[in-house]
Amino acid sequence: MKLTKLKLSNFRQFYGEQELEFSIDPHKHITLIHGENTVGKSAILNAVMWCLFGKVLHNYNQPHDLVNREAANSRAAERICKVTVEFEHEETLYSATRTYNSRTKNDDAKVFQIVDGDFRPIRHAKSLINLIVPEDMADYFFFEGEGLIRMGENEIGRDSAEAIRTILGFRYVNTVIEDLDYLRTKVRAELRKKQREQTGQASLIQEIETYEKAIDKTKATKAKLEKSIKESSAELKELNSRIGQSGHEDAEKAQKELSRLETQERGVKQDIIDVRKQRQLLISKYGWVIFGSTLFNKTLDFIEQGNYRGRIPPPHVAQIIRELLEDEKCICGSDLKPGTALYDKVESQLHTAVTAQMHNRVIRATAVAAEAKGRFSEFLDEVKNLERQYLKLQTREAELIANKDIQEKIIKNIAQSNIQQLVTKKESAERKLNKAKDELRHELQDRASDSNNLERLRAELRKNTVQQGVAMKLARQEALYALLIKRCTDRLTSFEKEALEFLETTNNEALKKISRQELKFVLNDDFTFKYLDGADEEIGRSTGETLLSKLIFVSSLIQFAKERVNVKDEFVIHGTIAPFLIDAPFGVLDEEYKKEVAKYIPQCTEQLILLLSTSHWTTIDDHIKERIGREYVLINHQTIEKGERTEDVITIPPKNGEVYKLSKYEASIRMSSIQEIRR
Amino acid sequence: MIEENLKALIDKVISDPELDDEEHIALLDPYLNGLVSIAKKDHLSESPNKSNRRKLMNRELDDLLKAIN
Repeated sequence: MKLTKLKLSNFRQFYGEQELEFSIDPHKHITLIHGENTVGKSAILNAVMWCLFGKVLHNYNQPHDLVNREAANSRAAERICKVTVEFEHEETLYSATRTYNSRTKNDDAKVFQIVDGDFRPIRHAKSLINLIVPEDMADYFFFEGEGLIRMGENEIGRDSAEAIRTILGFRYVNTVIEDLDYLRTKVRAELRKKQREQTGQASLIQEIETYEKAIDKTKATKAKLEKSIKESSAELKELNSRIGQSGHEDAEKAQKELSRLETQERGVKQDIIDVRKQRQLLISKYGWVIFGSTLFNKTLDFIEQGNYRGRIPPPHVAQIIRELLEDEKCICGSDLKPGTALYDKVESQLHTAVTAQMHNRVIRATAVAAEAKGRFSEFLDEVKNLERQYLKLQTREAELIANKDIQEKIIKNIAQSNIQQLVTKKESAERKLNKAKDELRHELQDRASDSNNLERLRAELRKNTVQQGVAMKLARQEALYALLIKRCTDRLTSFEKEALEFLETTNNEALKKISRQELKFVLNDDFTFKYLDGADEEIGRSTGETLLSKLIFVSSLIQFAKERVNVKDEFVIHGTIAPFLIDAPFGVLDEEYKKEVAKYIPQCTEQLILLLSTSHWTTIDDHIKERIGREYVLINHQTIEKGERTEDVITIPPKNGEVYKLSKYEASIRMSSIQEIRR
Repeated sequence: MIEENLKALIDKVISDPELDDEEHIALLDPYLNGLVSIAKKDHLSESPNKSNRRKLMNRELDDLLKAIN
C-alpha cells in the first residue's frame, strides 16, 4: 500500500478544503511535512488513521472534537468534517472517505475503487482496508515519536509481546481458542451428565469438580491480583517521576541513580532466572550420564582391569574356528577329520567363541562407558561454571539492593514536606505491590499442578466412560475440542518463536549500523528485552537511547510485516507493506543519533512520511534530501496583529535556501493551511 | 482418509492424553484455518456476533464430528 493523496475538509485546524499529495516515487520515497507545534502535524497523522480505521491515536487532544471550530461556529450547516485518503495497492487505486457530523454524531465511511476516473463503491470497506493494512498493525505504521518516549520501561515487555502477537494476528486465533473452550465446556456438561448415570465414576467426578472449582477461583484471584499489581506499579512510576522532577537537586539526582540501579537490578534478576533455567536444562542434557555414571565407571573399570584386558571378549573367534573345521586343518598343523576327538574338541570351542556381533557389542559398550565418563566430567565443569555465574549474580544483586537503599535513604532524609509526602506514598505503594506479588506467587505455586491433574483426571474419566452410545460420542467430541485448542496454542508458540528470532537478528543488525557503542539486543522468551554492552552487562539507558531503541524495534516490526507479505498460512495473518508515517520521531535524540536514524529509517520502508518541526529537521536534511519526493509547510493563520512578534520562517534547504513564512497575521479566519515547496 | 486418521487419533488421545503425534495432529490444521477465517470475518464485520460465530464454528466442525463418531 502507498498513500497517494490526502484531502481534508474542515478537519481540526484545517478550515475549508486542503489537500496534499504523497510521493510514490521509489527513488524519492520521502514526503516531508514541516510544521511548528500546534499547527497540525498530529492532525495530519490522525486524519489518515481516522479515515482508514475510524480511530485516532490514544493521546490525541480532544479526540471527539474533530470538526474545525471556525466551521462549526460560523455556519450551523457545516458541522461536518471529511477526510479522504487515496491510496494504491497492487496496482489498483482506491479512495477512502470518512465524514463526521458533530451534531448528529454520525460517522460514515466509504471506500471506492478508482477505475479510469470512475469511483466504484466497495461493499465491505472495513474488510478491504484490514486486508491491506490490518487495523491492529496500524499503530506501528502510523505513530507519534513522543508517544514512544512515554511508553514506560516496564511496559516494553508487554508492548513487544503485544506487538509481535498483533503483527501475527493472534487475536483471531485467541478468539478461536476462547470459542472452542466455550463449546468444550458445553459438551463437557452434557458428558458429565451421562457419566454420572454410569456407576463407579462418582468419586472421580467429584475430584474433577473440586479441581475445576479451584482453577476457576484461581483465575478470578489472579485477575484481581494482576490488576492490583498494575495499579501499584503505575502509581510507583508516577511517584518516582514526581520525585525525579521535584525541583530538589539531591532528590532528583538520587532518583535518577535509583532508576539506573533498578534497570540494572531487573537485568540481573532476569540473568538469575536464565542461569536457573540453564541449570535445569543440564539435567535433561546430562541425565543419562548423571544417573548412570557409577554403573558406567564400574563397567569400564571392570573391562580395563589388567587381568581381563584382551580376554573380554574371549580370544577365540568363531569365524576362525569355522574356517579350521572347513579346511580340516588345525592351527598346529594336525589334520582335523570329522569324528576324531581333536575335531570334536575344536568344534566344542564354537560354543564359547566370540562372534563378530558380540565383539562389536563389547567394543560399543566400552566406547559408551568411556564417553559417559567424559561427559560426566563435562557436566561437572558446566555445573561449576553455572554455580560461579549464579554466585556472581547474587553478589551483584545484593550490591545493587544495597546501593538502592543508600539512594532511598538520601531521598527519605530530605526534610522537605512535598518529598516526605511522596516518600510515604511510595512506601505504601511498594508494600501494596509486594503484597500482591507475593500473594500471586503463592496462588500460582499452590495451583501449579492443578491443570495437569485436572486434564489427567478428565482423560481417565473419558477412558472409563462406557465405550458406546451418546456418552462415547460426547467424549470424542470433548477430546476433539481439547486437541484443537492444544494445536492452536502449539502453533502460536511456534510462530512467536520464529518472530522472536527475526526481531532479535534485525535489531542487532540495526544497532551495529546506528549505535555508537557496542550494544547487543537480547529478547527473552517472555518478550522482555534488554541491551548488553561489550562485557555482556545490561546497560541503563538515557531517554535518547530509549527512544532510539524503540524506533529500531518498531522499524524491525515493519520489516517483519514486510517479510511476511507473501505468507499464505491462513492461521495467522499475512504481513503487509505500508507507509511509515511518523510525527516527530527524533524528539530527544542527540544530533548524532538523529543523523543515524534519518539514514536508517528510509531503508526500512517503501514510503516514508515525516512530520517534522524545524528544530528536528535542520540537521538531518543533508541525509534525507536526495530521497525527498514531495515537501510541504504547514502555515499558521492568526487573526491577531503581528505587532512586535517575531516572524516564524523556515529556510529550505537550510543553507542558502528560499525563506517561507510559517505564520500569517490578521487573517480573517484562524486556521492552518498546507503549502507545497519545490526545491 | 483424513477423517479416518483423525478418528483413530481421537481414540488414541482418549486413551493417552499426553499423545504427541505431530504428524497426525497436523491433520487438524485445515479445520483450524476454517475456524480462524470465521473469527476474522466476525471481527471485521460491521456488527460482530459472538453467538452466531460460535454456531458457524460448530457447523465448520460438523463433518469432522460426524467422521469421528
